[in-house]
Amino acid sequence: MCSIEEGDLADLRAREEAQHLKAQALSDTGPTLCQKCRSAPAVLLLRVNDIYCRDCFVAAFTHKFRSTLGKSRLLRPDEPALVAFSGGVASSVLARLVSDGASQTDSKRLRLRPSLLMVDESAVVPEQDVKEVERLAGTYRVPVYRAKLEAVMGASGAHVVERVNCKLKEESTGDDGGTESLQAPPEAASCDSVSSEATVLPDEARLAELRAQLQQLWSAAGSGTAREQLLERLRSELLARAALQLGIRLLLLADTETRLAVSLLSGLAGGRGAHAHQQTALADRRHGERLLVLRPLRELSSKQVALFAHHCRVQYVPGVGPDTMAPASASIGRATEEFVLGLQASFPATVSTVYRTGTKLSAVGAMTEDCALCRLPLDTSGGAASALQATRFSQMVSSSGPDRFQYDHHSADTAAGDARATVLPPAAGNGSCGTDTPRCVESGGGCCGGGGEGCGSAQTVSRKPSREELLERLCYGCQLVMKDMKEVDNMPSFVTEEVAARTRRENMRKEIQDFLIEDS
Amino acid sequence: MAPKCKTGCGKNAILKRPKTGDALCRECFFWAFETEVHNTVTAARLFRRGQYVAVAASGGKDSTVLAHVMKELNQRYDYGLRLVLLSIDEGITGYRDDSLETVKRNRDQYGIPLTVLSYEDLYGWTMDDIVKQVGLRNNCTFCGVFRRQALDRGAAQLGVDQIVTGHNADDIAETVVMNVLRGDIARLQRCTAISTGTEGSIPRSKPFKYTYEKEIVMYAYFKKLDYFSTECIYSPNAYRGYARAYLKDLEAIRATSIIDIIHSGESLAVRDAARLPTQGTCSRCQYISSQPVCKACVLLQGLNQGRPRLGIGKSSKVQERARETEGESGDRSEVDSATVTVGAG
Repeated sequence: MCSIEEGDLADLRAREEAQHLKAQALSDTGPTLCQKCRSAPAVLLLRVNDIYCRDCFVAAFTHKFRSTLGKSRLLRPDEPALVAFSGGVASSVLARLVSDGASQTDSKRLRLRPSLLMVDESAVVPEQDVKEVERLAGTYRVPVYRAKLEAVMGASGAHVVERVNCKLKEESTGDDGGTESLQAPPEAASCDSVSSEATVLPDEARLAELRAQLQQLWSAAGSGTAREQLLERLRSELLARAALQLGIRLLLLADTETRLAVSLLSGLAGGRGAHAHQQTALADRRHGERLLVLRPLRELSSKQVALFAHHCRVQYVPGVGPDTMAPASASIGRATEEFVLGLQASFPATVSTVYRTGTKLSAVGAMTEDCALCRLPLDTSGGAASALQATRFSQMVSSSGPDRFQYDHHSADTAAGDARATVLPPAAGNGSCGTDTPRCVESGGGCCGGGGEGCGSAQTVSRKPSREELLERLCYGCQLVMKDMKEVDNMPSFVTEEVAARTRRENMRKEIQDFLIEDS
Repeated sequence: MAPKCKTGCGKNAILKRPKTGDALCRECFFWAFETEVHNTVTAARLFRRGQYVAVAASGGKDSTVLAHVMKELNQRYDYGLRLVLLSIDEGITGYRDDSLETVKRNRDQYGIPLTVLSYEDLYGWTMDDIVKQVGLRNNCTFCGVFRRQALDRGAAQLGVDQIVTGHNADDIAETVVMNVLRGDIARLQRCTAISTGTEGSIPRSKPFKYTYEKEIVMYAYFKKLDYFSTECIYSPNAYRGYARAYLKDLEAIRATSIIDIIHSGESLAVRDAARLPTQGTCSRCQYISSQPVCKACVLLQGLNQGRPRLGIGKSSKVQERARETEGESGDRSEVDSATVTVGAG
């Protein structure tokens, strides 16, 4: 209720001060000196009072990156690390930091053996300049891998990643950095991709099939928000799978503080409160012991990253995505980005405050199972008084009407117990689901195995899960994405496999339930 | 040609529910709205038979509809509650005096007794006086802090078992966003609780927690309920306005955003290591406080000593200043429940 909080006033004062400093720096009275070394002229204003010369800024920036990695105490000496590389400014800066760090010769050498992994998203983002990203990746003197987004649609055992072979104009003689034969001088040109013998990728025909499936999935996503979240999810799944396949335990992502703040808030807006911790954590452990996903830029803002890129001449390709140039109304992510960046302009503490809110949260405790799509704990058990139950109840009430609905006989548990309450009701009004795809939703109705007793597991394997079966295995946030999907026939294999496996297990349990001692 | 009501009752629909998108007729909407509130009440086990419950009434749409629905449901489902309207008169000319008239009409229409407590009786200051002292910038801090305590004092005086407030789903979602923006982890954690109440304070609950603001307006509109709708004349509401605009944008993109955010808020888990303030009692007025001296007493001390900014700022510094200047008590009395007079409106 309080309109102007104390914090806001501090922000306002900070802004005035910043303007004052800026005016001072631009005045004719001579250059303002760097606040840190007090000898070199300052070239940039980071925050209020933080004016730096180039060298001090670069040193502080690098230090922040190194300390974020070091503080984690998660690294093993000279371990291979895979850097997700999109060619955008943040991942280019990360690639630079990692490759420079690893090629240092003194005691400060970053003890990692980096390689880059780029994702070819041209199946859904035709504007992506894959060649240019490859060329940039080739300039870092480290091995470069490429994975096509459509490969993630295939069975979880299939190979997804290939080595990109950069034909170099000149041979490098350096022996630092990469451990394998491939080393590129900074100005390498003309990269061709050649599959190495080590990896057997699905053949062209199969890839084309998967590409078509991905594109169908893409066009079935009825909203910008669903597309944005699907792409994000498929990409991270692909990155994880590629790392596992290459036998690399460390995957580095270039998420900045700014980006994490936006994704925390848009996650909350998308019903992913239970996963807010994982969205901003330094280490993402959703893939278990074999893969550690780290975000070493998480304490650096996008402004700092851009300044670093500018002052260190880091090359990058302006990022393109499905939401590039899209208005704020295009998706929840875009609206949130606009909101956070807008606030940040007036209240410079916004991004770091939101980001730090995320760090004060923790992972939600032990849940029975994980979401089949995002692999984070299911948050749909609700309870008698929860948003999920309330939504379900509204749906029930709205469609039954006073005459057919007898509240007194049901009591409050009706919606919670009866309908299992783990699944959100279908989106009403836009007719995107439910009505146009008649399915065997009523479980136990004796139809094709939606939980009915008569169905053997062999049948369930080959069959695609129904929308209803799928939803049961998804977290709240992913269910919202599915609600926006016109149809769910083209879900990636890792999801359908998971759903089928769980359904089989559940059926098995049902069969033996009477004989299980602890459950009866 | 109007569409038919979704429930199949045969009547023409007159509205599309913002919450579910279903087209309903007037009667079915009223029924659905009330049944949902009843469901929230029973699912969260908000009341026990025989309880004496104060409805915090401002005269605005939320509390007017709340009073109406509480009375309806209490009769229909036989909750066995005794209801009373409790209003706080902040002393804002041209705003609260008008809205209190609405509450008085509600009292007569619904036959629920009304109690009005004023800032002037409780603290010796009206908001009009406070604004003269502190200006427009921080006056909401005073009003918010004082009102929270005033409601509790009023409730204690009446001897009620709990207070129900008209906070709706939109308010709660907005508060979640605000607390994230402020980094206020303690409030973020408790702001989605449907019922709050710790040792020493009277429980408060929000029966409209899952009710969309738009549906409350629709209900009031079609029931022709009498309510007061004017923004407070002293509230510029700058920062909260951003959060509100953001929510509106989200809702336009995905209609369920409000409830999705509440779900998020309900499923957040706070890190154990994150330090949360412990609740104690104020050494001056015995009201619950996380500091040695509660915010209301510090604010009041500042007002009485002619240094209104005393209570504004970081709480650690505020406490320090309050201790330093404690001796120089001003001419007006401190919060003293003995001086409170309850005007039965």
